[in-house]
Amino acid sequence: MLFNSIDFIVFFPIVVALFFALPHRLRWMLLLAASYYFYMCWKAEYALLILASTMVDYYAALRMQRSEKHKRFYLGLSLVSNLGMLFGFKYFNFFNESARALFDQFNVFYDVPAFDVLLPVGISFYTFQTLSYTIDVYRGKHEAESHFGIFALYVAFFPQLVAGPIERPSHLIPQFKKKQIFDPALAGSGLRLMLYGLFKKLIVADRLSVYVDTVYAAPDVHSWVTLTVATVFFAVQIYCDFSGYSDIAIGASRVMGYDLMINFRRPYFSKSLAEFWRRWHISLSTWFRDYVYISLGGNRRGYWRHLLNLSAVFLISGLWHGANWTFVVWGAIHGAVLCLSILTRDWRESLPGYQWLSNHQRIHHTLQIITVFTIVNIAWIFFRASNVTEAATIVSRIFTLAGDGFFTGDVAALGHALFAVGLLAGLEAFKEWELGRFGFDWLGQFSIVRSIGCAAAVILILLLGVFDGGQFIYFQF
Amino acid sequence: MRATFNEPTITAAPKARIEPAAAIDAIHSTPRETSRRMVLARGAISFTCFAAALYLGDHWVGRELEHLYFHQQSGDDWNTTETLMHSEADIEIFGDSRGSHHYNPKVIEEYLDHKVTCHNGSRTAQTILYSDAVQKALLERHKPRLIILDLNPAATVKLANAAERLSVLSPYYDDVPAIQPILESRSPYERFKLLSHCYRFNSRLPTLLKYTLQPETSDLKGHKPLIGQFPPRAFLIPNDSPTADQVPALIDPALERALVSFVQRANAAKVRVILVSSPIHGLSFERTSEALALKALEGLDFQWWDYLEDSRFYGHTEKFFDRAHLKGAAAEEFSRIIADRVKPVLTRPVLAQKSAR
Repeated sequence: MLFNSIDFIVFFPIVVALFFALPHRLRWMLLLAASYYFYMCWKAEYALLILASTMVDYYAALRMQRSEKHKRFYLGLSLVSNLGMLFGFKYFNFFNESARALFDQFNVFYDVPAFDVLLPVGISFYTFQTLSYTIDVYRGKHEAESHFGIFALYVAFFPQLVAGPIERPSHLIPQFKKKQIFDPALAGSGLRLMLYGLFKKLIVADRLSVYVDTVYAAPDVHSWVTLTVATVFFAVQIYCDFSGYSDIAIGASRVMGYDLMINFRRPYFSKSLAEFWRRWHISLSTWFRDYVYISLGGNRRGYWRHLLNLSAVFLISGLWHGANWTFVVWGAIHGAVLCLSILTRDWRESLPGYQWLSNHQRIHHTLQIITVFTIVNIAWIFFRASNVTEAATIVSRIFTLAGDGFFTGDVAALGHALFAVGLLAGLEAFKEWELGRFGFDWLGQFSIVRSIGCAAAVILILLLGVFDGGQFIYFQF
Repeated sequence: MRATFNEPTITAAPKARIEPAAAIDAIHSTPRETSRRMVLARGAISFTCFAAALYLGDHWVGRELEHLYFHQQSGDDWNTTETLMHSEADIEIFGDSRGSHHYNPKVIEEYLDHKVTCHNGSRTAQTILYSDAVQKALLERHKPRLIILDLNPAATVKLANAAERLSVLSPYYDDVPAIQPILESRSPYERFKLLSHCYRFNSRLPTLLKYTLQPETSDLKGHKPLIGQFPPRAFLIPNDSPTADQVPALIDPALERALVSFVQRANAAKVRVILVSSPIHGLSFERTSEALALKALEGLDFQWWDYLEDSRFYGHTEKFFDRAHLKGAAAEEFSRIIADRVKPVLTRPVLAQKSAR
C-alpha cells in the first residue's frame, strides 16, 4: 500500500479510530495486524520474510541475554540470517553478474544462474532496524524484549516499515508499551506533517520526475544545459520523494502518539558534506555511524585509519542503496570528498582569501552551500543513471559544455515543475532561516489560521498534484 | 434598565434544563477531565474549521477555474469544449496527435466549395479512449454526416497511463453526462475524487493561464499545423520495436474495445464512419497491430482508407516534422486528397458503405 494512494486514506483513519477505541493491552495486536496487512497489500508471501527475521532476532536476543557465553554465536546467527536474506534477494544477482563479467574478461567459463526473484519492498530498512536491536542487546544497551508481539511490531510498524526512518529499539519499543491517549494537538500536528509530505511527493517529486525521466532516458542527445537542469531537478525530486515519505511516516505515527526520529533537516542548506550527512537520511547515517563506523574503530585508531573507515562506510552505504556499480560510485564520491575535505582542511584555511571569507559570513556560507550542492549533484548523476558509462557520459557532456539548446519537453509540465521547485525552495528557506519569527509563528498559534492553511494546502494538492505518479523511489532500496 | 433586570432569568433558564446524568458527570468530573474535554472540543472546532474552509475553498476556486476554463478561445481544452458542447459540423474528425496535425478542416471545406462544414476534434497525447468518449458525447447531441477517425496504426497497442490521460475530460463531469461513467471507470475512487471541483482541473492550470492570458488568434477549426522539423534522430525507427510475433501480446483489450465501440456507435446512429491510416515516414511494427485492430472490426459498417505507405508521402523527409507527423504544408496536401475522396461518399446513402481499401 502506498502512502499516496486512496487505499491509505481509507486504511489510516480506520486504524487510528480502532487504535484509540481499543484498550491499551490490545492495541499492539491491532497495529501488528494492520502493519502486516499494509505490507501484504504489495506481495503477501514476502511478509513471511519479515516474520522469519522477527522470529530469528527475537530468539537470538533472548538467548544472548540469558547466556553470556554464547552471546557472540547468537549475534552471528542474527547477522548471518538477516544479511544473508538481504544478500540473497538484493545482491546475489549483482555479484553474480559482476563475477560473470570478470570471468568473461579472462575467457573462463562461468555458469551460475541468476536468481529470478522480485526484490522485497523495504528489505534493507527492516533488516537494518532489526539488526540494530540484536546489536544493541549484544552490547548491553538494550534489554531483550520478552513480549513477542511488541517486538514483532517494532520490526513491522507500518508507517516506517518500507522506507524508514530506521528506528532504534531504545526509542521505539518503550513507546509501544506506554498507553497513548488521543491528543488533538498532537494529532493535528501529525496530520499537518503528513500533508506536507504529500505536498512534497505529489506536487514536487512526481512533477519533476516527468522531466527527469525524459532527459535521463536519452542523455546522449541532450545538451549540457538540459542535463544540468535535469540533474538539479533530480536532486530536488529525490529529496522530496524520500523526505516526503519520512514526513508522512512520522506524521502518521504522531497521530497515534508515537514519536519517530527526524530523518531530514533541509540537507541542501548544508555548508559542508559532513553536515549534509547530518541532515540527509539521518536514521541511516546514524545507523552506519553507530554500528559500522564505530565498530571499525571510528577516528580512534589514527589519522589514516579514520579516513579508511570513512571511505568504507560510504562504500557500504552506496551498496546499501542498490545492487549496482552506480551506487557504489555514488558512495565512493561522497567518501572521497569527505576524506579530501579532512586532508585539505589546514591547507584551505591557510589560503589567502580564507580569512576574508571568514570575516564575510554570508558570502562564505553561500559559497559553501553552492559548493556542497554542486558536489552532491555530481554524485546524484551516478545515483540516477542506469549504468556507470551513462553517468560518465552525462558528467562529460556537462563539463565539456556539449550540445546546444534547452529541452523544454511539455511546456506545461515544465511550468508545473518550476513552480513546484520555487514553492518548495520558499518553504524550506522559510524554515531554515526561521522567517516565522516575522509574525507568521504568532499567526500560526490560531487554530483557525492553521485550519485555513491546511485547507489551502489540500486544494493546492488537488490542483497541482500528480495522482498517478506511482511509488516512492526509496521503495526499491 | 428592564432588559438588564431580566438578564439573570434568561441565562438561568438553560441551566435548569441540564439533563440529570450530565449534571452528575459535571459534578464528578475532575479538572483534568474538564481540560481534556476542552482540548477535544478545540480539536473538533479546528477540524470543523478545516472542513468548512476546504469545502468553501474547493467550491470557490473550482468555480473560478471553471469560469476561466469555459471562456478560453483557443488551445486544446477549448477545442475539446467545441467538440463536446458546440460543434455542429457535417464532418467531424477524431484522432490523436496524428489526427490533430494531419487534417485541416478549412482546406477540406474549401475543396468541397463550402457546401459542408468540418471540424477537427482530435487531441494530442490522447488515445482511442478519448475519441470514443468524445464521440459518445457528441452523438448524443448532434449527428454529423460523416465521421473520420484517424486510425493510428498503433492505436490498440498498450500505452502507459492510457486511462489516466482521460483526465482532460474531468472539467466536463457536470456538464456532459455522457462522459461521467467513462471518467468514473478510471478507478474505484474516481467518483469521490471528482466531487472536488478543484480536482477536475488538476494539472490544467499552466495551459489555462497560457490560453487565457495569451490566446491564439488563428482559428483552424481544431487543426494544429506543425512548422519546422525535428533533428534526423526523430526519423529513426526505434531499435526496441517489437517483432510481428510479439505484437499480439502488446494489444490492450480496453483500447481495442474502445475502437469497436467507436464504430458500433456510429453505425447505430446511422452516421458514416471512415477510418483513415494517414501517412507515416517509416514503418516498424505498426502494420501488424493495425491488421489486428481491423480484424477486431470485422462485421461492422465502415470504410478504411489506407495512406500509411502512400508514395506521395512515405519516406519524403521534407514533408514530415518527425517520423509520425506531417508538416503543416503536407497536411494541407493530404487534406485535399481526403476531401477529394470524401466528396462522392457524402452523396451516397448511409448504409451503403463497405469495408474497403
